[in-house]
Amino acid sequence: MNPLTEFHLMLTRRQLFGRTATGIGTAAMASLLAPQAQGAKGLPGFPNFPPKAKRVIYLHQSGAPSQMDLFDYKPTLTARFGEDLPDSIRQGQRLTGMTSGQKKFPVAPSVYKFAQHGKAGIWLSELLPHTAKIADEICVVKSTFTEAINHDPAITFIQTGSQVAGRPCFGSWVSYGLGCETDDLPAFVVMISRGTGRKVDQPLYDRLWGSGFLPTAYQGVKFRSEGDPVLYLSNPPGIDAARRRSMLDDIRQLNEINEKQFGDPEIVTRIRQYEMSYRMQTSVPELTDLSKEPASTFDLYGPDSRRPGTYASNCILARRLAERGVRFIQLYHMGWDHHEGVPRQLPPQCMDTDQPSAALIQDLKQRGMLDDTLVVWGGEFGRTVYCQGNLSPENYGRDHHPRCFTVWMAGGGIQPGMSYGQTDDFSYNITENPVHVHDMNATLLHCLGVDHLKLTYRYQGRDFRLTDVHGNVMKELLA
Amino acid sequence: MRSRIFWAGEFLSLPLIAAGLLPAAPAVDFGRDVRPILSDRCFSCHGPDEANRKAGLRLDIEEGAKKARGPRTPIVAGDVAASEILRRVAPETPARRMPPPYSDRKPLSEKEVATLRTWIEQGAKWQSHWSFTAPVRPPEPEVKNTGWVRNPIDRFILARLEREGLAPTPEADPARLLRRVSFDLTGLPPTLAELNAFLADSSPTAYEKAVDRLLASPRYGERMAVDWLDAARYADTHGYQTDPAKEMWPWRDWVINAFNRNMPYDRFTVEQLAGDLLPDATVEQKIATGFQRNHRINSETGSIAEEFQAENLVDRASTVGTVWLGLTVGCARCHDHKYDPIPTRDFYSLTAFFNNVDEMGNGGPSDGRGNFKPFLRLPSPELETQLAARDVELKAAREKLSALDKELAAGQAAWESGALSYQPKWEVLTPGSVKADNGVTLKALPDGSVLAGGAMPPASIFEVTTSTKLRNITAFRLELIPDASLPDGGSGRGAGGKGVVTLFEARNGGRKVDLTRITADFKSEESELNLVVRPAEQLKRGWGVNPEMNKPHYAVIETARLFDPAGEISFRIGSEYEGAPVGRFRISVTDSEYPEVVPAEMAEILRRPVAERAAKDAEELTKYFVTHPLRRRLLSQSVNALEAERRTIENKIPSTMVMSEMATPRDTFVLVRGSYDKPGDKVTPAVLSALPPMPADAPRNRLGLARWLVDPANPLTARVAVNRYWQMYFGTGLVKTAEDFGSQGEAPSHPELLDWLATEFVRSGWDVKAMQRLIVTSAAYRQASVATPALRERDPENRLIARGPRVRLSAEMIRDQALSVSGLLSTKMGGASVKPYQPEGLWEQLSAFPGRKLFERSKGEDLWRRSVYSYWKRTVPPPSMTIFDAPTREACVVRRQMSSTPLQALALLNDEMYIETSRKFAERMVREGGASVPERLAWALRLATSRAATDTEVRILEQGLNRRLAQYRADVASAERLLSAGESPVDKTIDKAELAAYTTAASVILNLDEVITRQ
Repeated sequence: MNPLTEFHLMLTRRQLFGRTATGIGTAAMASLLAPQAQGAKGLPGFPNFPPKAKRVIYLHQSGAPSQMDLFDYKPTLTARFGEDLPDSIRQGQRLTGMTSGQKKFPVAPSVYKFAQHGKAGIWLSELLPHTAKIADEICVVKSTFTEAINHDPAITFIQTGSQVAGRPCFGSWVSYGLGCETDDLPAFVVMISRGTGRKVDQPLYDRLWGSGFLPTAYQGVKFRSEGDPVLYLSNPPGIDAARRRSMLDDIRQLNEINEKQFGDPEIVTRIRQYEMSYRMQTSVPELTDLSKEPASTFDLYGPDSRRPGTYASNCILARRLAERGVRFIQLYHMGWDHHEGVPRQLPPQCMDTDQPSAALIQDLKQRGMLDDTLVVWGGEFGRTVYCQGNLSPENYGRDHHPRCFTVWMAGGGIQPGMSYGQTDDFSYNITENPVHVHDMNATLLHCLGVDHLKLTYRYQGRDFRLTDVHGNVMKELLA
Repeated sequence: MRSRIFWAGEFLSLPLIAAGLLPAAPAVDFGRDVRPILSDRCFSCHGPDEANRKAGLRLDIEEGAKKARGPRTPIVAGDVAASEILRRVAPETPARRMPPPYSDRKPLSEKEVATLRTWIEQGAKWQSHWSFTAPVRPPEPEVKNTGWVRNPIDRFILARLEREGLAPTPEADPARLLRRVSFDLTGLPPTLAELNAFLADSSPTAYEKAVDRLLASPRYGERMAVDWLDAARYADTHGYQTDPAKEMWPWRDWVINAFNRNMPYDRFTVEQLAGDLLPDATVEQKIATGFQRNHRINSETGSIAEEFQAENLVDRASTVGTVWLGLTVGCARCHDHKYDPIPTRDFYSLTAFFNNVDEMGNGGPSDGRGNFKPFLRLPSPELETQLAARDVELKAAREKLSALDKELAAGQAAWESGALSYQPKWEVLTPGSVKADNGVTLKALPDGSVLAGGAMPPASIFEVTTSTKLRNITAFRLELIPDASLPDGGSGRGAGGKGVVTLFEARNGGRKVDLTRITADFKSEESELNLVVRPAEQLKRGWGVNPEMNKPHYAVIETARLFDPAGEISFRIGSEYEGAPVGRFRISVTDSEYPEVVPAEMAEILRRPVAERAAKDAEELTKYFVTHPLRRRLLSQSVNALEAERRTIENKIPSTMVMSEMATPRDTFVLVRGSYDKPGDKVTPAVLSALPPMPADAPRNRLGLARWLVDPANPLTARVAVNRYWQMYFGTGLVKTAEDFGSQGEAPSHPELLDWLATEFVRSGWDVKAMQRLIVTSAAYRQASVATPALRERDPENRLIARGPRVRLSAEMIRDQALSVSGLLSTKMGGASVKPYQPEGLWEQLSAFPGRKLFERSKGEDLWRRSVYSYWKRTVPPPSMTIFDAPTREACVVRRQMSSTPLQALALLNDEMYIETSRKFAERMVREGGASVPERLAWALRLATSRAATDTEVRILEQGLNRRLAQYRADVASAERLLSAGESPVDKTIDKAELAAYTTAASVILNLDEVITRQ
């Protein structure tokens, strides 16, 4: 690198840390050390204490999986088939506009068999045979709850800590606080797959991986399975690597001339970003090319994993991203919003996700990476025990239910092989160990060595946090 | 090193350090130095929030801070030893420390403690928060270097620089200065003609003339609108869940026009907040109120209207707070504001101004263009004419219909009594000629019937030709007549006299007569009557009369329109049911209103005595009677058709959401902890209690609020506005936190200048263009943006303005510049938003929801419009914009982020739009840039930077171009691939390899840091 450039980079860093020593100014200088593919350091003093996990793979199941058909075993419901949900359980809690007009709230027991697995005897539905194999690795939290009752506010809440748009998402907070471990890839990567259970399902929004009021540089970079894996990554037709290199050389030389005259460190930063973009053109295709993965990988993750864009394929990519030092890997799998036809829509949805999710845990473990990788599996809320629409022994639908749902976590810092929290006989109210979304996020940050009270950003005169003004680290969940 | 330069800064609170604010006098100033410390560390527990106040101690007001509390007093002026606060912020035992170790507030640094101590020593003089006191026009300060001063702004800047021992930077070279001001005022670079004219103008007012030209350009309004659209969270979709489309562009065009017409800021404010409440409000003034309807609206199925009604109100009040008052009023939604004197009650009183709109919290029915009520339709005169014409026709048709209904109603009783036995008057059609295929013979009998004989093929079609003089035919009758010559004396030729009709078709004048329905007095169980008039290819079935073959029966087949035959009518009768050919049949016509066989349900009612009929029966009869006659059906169809046409026209009419008041105001309540379902005290519309009150006679509605905002007595509105203008030009406002002028916001770097500008703005009659002119014609603005390492080290963010601004272009400017230099830019203004190039599948990947809109790329000129007209989908905004820090427009933003990322490099290098603009730019280089390669490259670099290129730069560009030219010559196919980007035509007169090489050079230029920066 040009010695002058190198000097300015040193200077830039010194300025940055000179200022951030006082805890402020990081924002102003963020553009100098954008974490998108820069191997940027995080905030000074972060992590706040030795982390158990260095990175996160967040497997979001968008649309909200039904907890009582998958995890929250309620054997006594069978006898209550079709009975109206007792007022003592419902307690006048609000319902969505989709079922608030129903005259009856008939109990719809799950049609699935449950069995206990692993040393801790974790209950799992027959729809999750592969998850059963990792029962000793996961911590199943049956008492998660949220505040929102509709998809958009709820998924925004679980990802940003606020139902209203405008706050940074989890991944942005983490890349802002901890930076990135790689020079060649973004700190925060997002991948999306569509479920086969319900092909037409709840949409997603850019804001879910947006940086809110944090600098734009901390937003998630979406990897796509069609077209360019990263937007605008490929050279246009007619520009090969040699021509691109020669253009970049011209750009650099001309930028250096301007830098000499104006002395603005932003010009140095820009020069670095162009070099980084060139490196990404190699590192990203290398990353997304699964052709060199052995057959055993595809056997492990299941047949879908050979098809780009599937959840299974994204799980393999998640492991590859983790191996390369990406800090936050966010998957979204759509298709869980089963207002009707649960028995028709839920099994294919589980087929999509059960084996790949379990494979990811097994794969990370066999590579020795599960110890410092935090994996989270869950949706934005739960589903109602009462039936939406017509109930029959074979068929039922379930509405949104924010009062309890199940999330599982595994890896770095999390107690393996545990079931946590209890709900009542109807999986309607939490009876033991409630875990609010803010508590869960505080706990996940804790695993990353981050005190959720300290990861703040000054905006509108206030130090904002992922956990707003709430959140308790759930010590019982920690290893 | 830092402490030497920022010696005074060490005493400041953190936000002030970030502001680079360097007090010149050692005296501690409460507002500047002390309040920020108290605010940041103490107010959250000892501030305005009464519910969460600890120990009953208030440090945000003088009375609380200086009042004795038992034996102790927090602050005793001049007496350090007696001031308890100093003991608490720097105690000997950390456990007693304030803020307490368990809080999320950091302890005070030694310097901050020293600041507090010095302030108390110096007499602990208290001031109210600076921004809550109306600005007083300060005297223009004396300066030494008066020759530098161009207008009063410069005195304030220079006075500060002179105190700091700094000198301003010399004026930027004219070319760069013109480029800077052109972007700042119009969002576009100067054309070469504009540049040359400017450089050739040696008059002392050349620059001012250029500024006036730019301010007069329609491009000015387009540039100014962008920041306002961010603040107003303007978008083309609603922003929740499926993110449905809406239509607010008439409001966006209103904003652009308002800037171009130089609407004063007070009127601009009043019309957007309360245009509908002005006396004799014009359509334009109503459109302006769309500002308050730009917020997101959640119409997700199952969403609760009250919940999102509350969100709408919070958004409106918070946005007004940020945009006009620079206050974070939304913080008081759940509790009293922790830092500023804004109780929760004040916040909800503010929302009450906006709670009187006739709206549904979760949208309700939309107007067909995605807008929720209240909305305004904005028909063009042409569409209005079309609509009016339809209305006239509709009125006539409806009148005819009701007249007919009246006429018909008169006959109902008679019909009811006779309907069961009623037979219309049928005219038998005497066959002119008859014909059949497959060996079947047909014979016309004297009664007009036709008798079949001959072969018995599986299928045969009988053709009968005839004519009639009857007009207004409503139906045909087809009779099956028993005949002794047929088996068992039946009406068909099959076993037992069975015969099945599989087709009935009439033709006249070369076309088929449209038939509607078929009824029969009798039919066999297997009959499929409808197949007779709508035959199915595979299913040859129809009408049979088994087991009543030896009785005469008839079917009635109605026409879709009144049928006036011209000349011959030819019929085709299908006899294709194997084993049961038709034997003897006859065809008749009628013009009766009730030709058909009365349906079984009606017959059943009619058979009952009137007294035994239920009320519902009578209704059914009337319905049947009234709707049945063909005339009636046709008239009603024509009304429907006219209504449909009217809807089609209506759907072409743009609409826009507006504010309008309900007759009965909706009650507003404090929402406990901000929750929509926990209403507390009822509140009425009121302005913030910490600010000057509304005049007693002012209406307590949006109009009163708007006028209060722009009352010169309001301490915030003018300051907040001029600060945003300053930020536009210098990248950072005088108050860096443009969104927060409260206690936690940054104090102004030049408080006197801010107040002078604010008072000048009001004095000028809120003249927006004059304010822009004032700033950009100052010597401060006109400085070069070069900086010595020493100056940069001392003032990295340029808060002292010892040099000119050097700011990256906004997302819109970067794109518009590429369009401009390439010659593609369309200057078409206004109208529906357009969808320029974006990578495929972006919308589709995130949503497969039914009814979602797919991205449909615009065509032709609309691909090259200014970015302010680009379609803004909130959940998937255009990536070429957001990558360059455009906000998502989900919520109000008055200060954009400014980042530098590799994704920006990828977008500028590889986006189809930039490849196309590079190619068009290259074509211009070849055509307009001169004869030689260096000339052309120098021309292009000058067009993109406005300054002359140096030899070194041209050499670098030329070497690169030649290298790539050789490659393209060796591989012309790859040149063709490069040139194929975009929809604009390729200049075929230029050699392909050459054009490709120039395209790469153009791309290099468009990627330069200098080119995407105002410097």
